[in-house]
Amino acid sequence: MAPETSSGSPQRWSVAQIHALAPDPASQKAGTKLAAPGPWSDTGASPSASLLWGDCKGSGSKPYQVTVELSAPAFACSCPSRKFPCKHALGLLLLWSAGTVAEADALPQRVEEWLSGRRERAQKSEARKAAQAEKAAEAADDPAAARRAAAAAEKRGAQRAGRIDAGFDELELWLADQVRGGLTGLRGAGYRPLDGLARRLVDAQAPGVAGRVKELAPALSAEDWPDHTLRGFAQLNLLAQGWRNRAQLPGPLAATVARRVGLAPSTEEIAAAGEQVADRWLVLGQRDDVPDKLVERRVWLRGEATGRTALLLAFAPRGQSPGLALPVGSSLEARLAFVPDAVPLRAIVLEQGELQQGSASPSGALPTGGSLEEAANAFACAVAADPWTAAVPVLLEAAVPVRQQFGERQEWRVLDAKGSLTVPLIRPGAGETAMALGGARKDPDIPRSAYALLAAAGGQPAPVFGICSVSGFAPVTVWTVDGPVSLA
Amino acid sequence: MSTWTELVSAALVGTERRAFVADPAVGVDTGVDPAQALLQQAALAAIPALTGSQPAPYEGPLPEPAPADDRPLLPAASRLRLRAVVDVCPKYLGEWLAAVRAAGYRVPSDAMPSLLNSGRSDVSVRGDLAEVLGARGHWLARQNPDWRYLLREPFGPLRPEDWDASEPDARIAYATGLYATDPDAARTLIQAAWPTLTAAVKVSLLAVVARHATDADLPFLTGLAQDPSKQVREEAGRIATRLAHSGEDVAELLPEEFAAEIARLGAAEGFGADLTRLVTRRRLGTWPLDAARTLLALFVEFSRGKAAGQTSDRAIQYERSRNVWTVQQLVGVLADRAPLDLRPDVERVVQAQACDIAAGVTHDLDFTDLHSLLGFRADMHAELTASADAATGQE
Repeated sequence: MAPETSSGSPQRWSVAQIHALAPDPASQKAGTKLAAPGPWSDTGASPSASLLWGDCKGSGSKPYQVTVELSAPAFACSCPSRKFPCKHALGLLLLWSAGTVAEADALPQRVEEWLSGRRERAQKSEARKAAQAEKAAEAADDPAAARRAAAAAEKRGAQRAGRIDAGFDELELWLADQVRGGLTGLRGAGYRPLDGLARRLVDAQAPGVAGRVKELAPALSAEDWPDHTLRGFAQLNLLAQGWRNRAQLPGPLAATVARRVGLAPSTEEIAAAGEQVADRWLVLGQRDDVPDKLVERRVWLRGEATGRTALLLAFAPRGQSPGLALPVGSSLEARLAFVPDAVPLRAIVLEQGELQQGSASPSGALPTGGSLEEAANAFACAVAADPWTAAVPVLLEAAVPVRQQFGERQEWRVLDAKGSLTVPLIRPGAGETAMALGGARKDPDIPRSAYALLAAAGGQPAPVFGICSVSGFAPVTVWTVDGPVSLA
Repeated sequence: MSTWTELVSAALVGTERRAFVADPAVGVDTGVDPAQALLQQAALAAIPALTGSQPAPYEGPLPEPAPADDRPLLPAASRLRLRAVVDVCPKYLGEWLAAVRAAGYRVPSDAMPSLLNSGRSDVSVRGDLAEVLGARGHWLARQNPDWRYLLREPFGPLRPEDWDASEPDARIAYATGLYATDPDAARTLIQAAWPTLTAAVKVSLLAVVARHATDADLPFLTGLAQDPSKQVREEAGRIATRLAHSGEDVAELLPEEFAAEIARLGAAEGFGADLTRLVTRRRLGTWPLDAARTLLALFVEFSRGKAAGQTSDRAIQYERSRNVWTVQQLVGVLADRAPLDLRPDVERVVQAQACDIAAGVTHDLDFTDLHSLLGFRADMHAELTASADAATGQE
């Protein structure tokens, strides 16, 4: 067991951890191909400075020179790729992970130069920061300046709130108009009116509302579109009401309304106002989504002592690694700050210790899960606290995929073997918007997802972490005899 | 209070066309506009649908669990290699699976779906795949109609009782296994059972015969001209015709003759059609080292050829560039099939080439790809045996 434990120091990264750094699956594959000594020469690792370097033969006559600093981590490569880290850096890391990069005492000159360049830049940036801090401190000492700054910030906030107010004014009028004239007309008009409205809401600086409006368009072609549409309209209308009454709402719910509208609190605000929880956190699952030109990485954690579930989010432009290289099954000591919310889930890391690959005992790495009934209750509670909830993370103790017959139709379902209950099995990432109801079940990727789960756990009921949404359960991680397996 | 269905129907028609009266019991302000009242009431009525998919009771049986596999798990380096072979270099999947089979490892079960998908399109890997995946892979293949082909492949020791099984797949798997070890016995067995078989099973068995067909199968195949099934008659005819023509092919040379033939053809006509055919038809595993060396030497000589015969004649230049393309293909064949002992030779060639280039001598071919592909294959085998040594060393 514990196939990827490390030996010696510094701690070697696991393959999963390195793969988590890859900006996309294509780089992962390309890096894997380069993880053989074949194309490499002049490789080395320095234990003290935690540096890796090597030359990788490419298509040109001059090999690509790769340098990796493990502690940052920082990457440099002379290749022209805009992916970051590039396949050469990933290949070198994998090579090192497999134990085929020898330790060297002396750094090559180019690595020395790169390192001193980085140090210089870091010093400059430190100096800049210090200068800014000094300025801020000066401003704080000067009560007049502080008042001016606070007033300016308040003015900016009020300006934005005013724009959002105007956006909601238009939205409410539009919604009422649709209901007055009948929804049938909307279907005939297609996605254009919705698109236009969404764009105006973006201009009104309410991106959360705009996103909800945009999601209504594809539902128009669904069979039960009247249900989707009225549900969507009702939720938007409720959000408008919530926004207007936000001063009267309890604090956490007001924060939820603001977040749903699209006013994300800054990292400083979360650190200052968010609930802080220190614990040993087990990485339950990870999933990458690629909407538009962005990579969105989600990492779910479970606190060993507190039992709390936390969601970390990271974004990067496509082709770059969003960071958060936290492989499933590893754990870390960390202090998190939860984003203020009616159902606190999103969090940021304030302080973190070193990542532990897996746990000393396999059973220790396995968090205790619940039943589908408990999951349904958790969902209901979440909706009661935040009526715009679309999905909740759930760990099932003993789940197995089954094919269940419903009249003529056969459907892949997730069976909770203890409670003898099933919910539809859906693809990772599907059905997490309220509008996706029903459509997610026809996804052609469902069998692939079901076979992956079946293969990994061998048809045995096993602990499965996944996302419970209105359409069903999307598996993310399953714990097998060989350790946790990522399905998303 | 109005039900959800009533609300939806009211919204579809529109409150302008049909009056909508807000339900005072819901707590919606009755003074507001009917459309606004409808939206507010809908927000409440939608809640049951938004609290997630209600779990349904299940009374069926639990899935049959996969049988255990007590072989050791593939070592970490080879698990990484598995991804590279499946995703990036599927042409080496057959060679890698044969090596894993020989080393006696099991693959991680979550890798099985992608391996089973590879076997769908690549028939040549199926035999080794069946052995590597073992009982657990067969269990998984039974769950998905796309992976059924695996059930027709034998694994483990041959079980004669499979021939009497009611499942045609088991019979075909047994016949396949027996054909590989004892073709005469397999032929006798199939012939004896022939009259009792359905046309579908007959066609599947003919596919087994086709995989190993030799002249000894001809009497049986020609006898099938009278078979009641048209499909069987056609299939048997096809295999028989192929057998009759196979004699016209270049017979595979004995290992010691292979190198000599390469040298003879290379000296006589350079990289002509005969040499190309000789090289491309040669199968993996039957490449003697001296033949690979001879071919490599021819490549090197060809690569320098341009420097020797600099010419401004366009026709010759064109001919030359076409030849370069052909020879590049042959270098690829050598990379895939040469014995791994060739690697030090290639390394020397790459170094010599670098010196040549530094000295201003041009080359038409670049042997670094050949070097790195041989390296990929060498690493692929080395990590399987190295970890086996380490494991036995620890115990």
